[in-house]
Amino acid sequence: MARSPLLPGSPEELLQRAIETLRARVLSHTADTPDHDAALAALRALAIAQAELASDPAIAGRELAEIEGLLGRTFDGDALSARRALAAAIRARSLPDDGPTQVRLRDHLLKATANRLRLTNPKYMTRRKRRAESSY
Amino acid sequence: MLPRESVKALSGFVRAAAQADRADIAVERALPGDTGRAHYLIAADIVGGPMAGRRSLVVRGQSDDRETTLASAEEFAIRQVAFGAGLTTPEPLWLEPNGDVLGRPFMILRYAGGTSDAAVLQEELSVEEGDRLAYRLGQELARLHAIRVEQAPSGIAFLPRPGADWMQQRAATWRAALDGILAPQPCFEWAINWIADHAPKIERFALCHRDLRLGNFAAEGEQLTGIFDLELAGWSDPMEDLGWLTARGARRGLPDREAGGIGSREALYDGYREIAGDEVDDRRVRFWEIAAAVRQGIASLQRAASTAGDAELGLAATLDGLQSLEAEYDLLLEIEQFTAEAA
Repeated sequence: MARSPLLPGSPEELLQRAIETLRARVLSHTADTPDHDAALAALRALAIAQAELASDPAIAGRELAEIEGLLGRTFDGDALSARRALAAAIRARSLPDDGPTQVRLRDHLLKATANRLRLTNPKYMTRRKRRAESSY
Repeated sequence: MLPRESVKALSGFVRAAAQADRADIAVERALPGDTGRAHYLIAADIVGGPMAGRRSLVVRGQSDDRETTLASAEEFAIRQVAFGAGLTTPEPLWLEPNGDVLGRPFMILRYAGGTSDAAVLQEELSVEEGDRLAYRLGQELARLHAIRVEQAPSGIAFLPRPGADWMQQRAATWRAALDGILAPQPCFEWAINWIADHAPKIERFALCHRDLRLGNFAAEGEQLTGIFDLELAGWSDPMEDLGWLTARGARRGLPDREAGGIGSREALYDGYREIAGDEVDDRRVRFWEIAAAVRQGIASLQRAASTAGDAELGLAATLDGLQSLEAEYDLLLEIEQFTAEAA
């Protein structure tokens, strides 16, 4: 059963209104005060939450599938366990040392990092004038 | 600020250390630095003895972070050696190694002046001025690197000498740091393996600063007034210091000023070459830029983890921790470029 929202508007709309209110009514009053950095941090956190809500939900599934493909096992939708297993396999150097596997691994890492960076600092990749392109 | 009884104790310490008849201390302001570290600019009115007069001094307490940074006594010894070798760094005057005066060890340095504010320096320096400051930083690093491991002064004999497995030890330290972070970090694990596999053969180890970047030096305009924070110093490949300064994460908002967000890479290299006489090994510098991205990324994650329970500090540090993604992205692209250049 779908939950009815506590406040009018979608979570995305509420976040947008909160960001606009903070920018228009709070930020200007904190300039040159010790609270300014805290206000900016709060705004940035809201912007990241907003980007996360708006992001393609299929990305997490694709990332999980890539890890499952690399490790040759399934994780029943548990993306955190999959990343943990991938990190352990890399440290143990237990992934095949052949060229194709290493290219797939490197591509996966680049895409996974780029997907997160798009949410937290979308300008960063633009500034580097590079895109996370697959090489396979 | 220091409580009144600490100021009184400090006055007594300065009087004795300066062989003075009397010393009156006033704390002028807190200086930037790690949270939890005593770091103050003080005015000392010294009567009698060789230091008589009004002196601007810096009180620098020992860091809380005793896992990765040197003790005050060790940093003081390194500062003495570096100052003696001609490094532009505040003269180290006195050491209190026991914590008897302020409750923790500290040192007193001569105040260097200038500003270490990264935003101010980046905003105020023109391209040409930035290049001249970068040139000077190159010269300074070359002076420090003239202190070689094989001729190590006895005062810094405590610094561990690098063995054949020194890069494997670095990798082990980074992996141990990752073990202390809750979220898995496959990208850093991959990069650490790459670094361990591609470590350059080092012909000579030198005393390296290992943290020279914006914030850890002061200048008045383009004139360098002092290099600070030698608490991470140790024996390493001299190119590590250059790579740490040219790493993308050290450039703040000015990525095109490749030497620490200050000036050009060429100016930095030229200054280094002028004093060292050696060619700068650009490829090795690039290797160390990759290692710098790993160090910076892990440090961001550690700062975020260490303040996770603090609602306000935790939010800022969590956001700071997200900079690790920028470090990940940098090192993935830079390893690709490094490998392509070798082919």
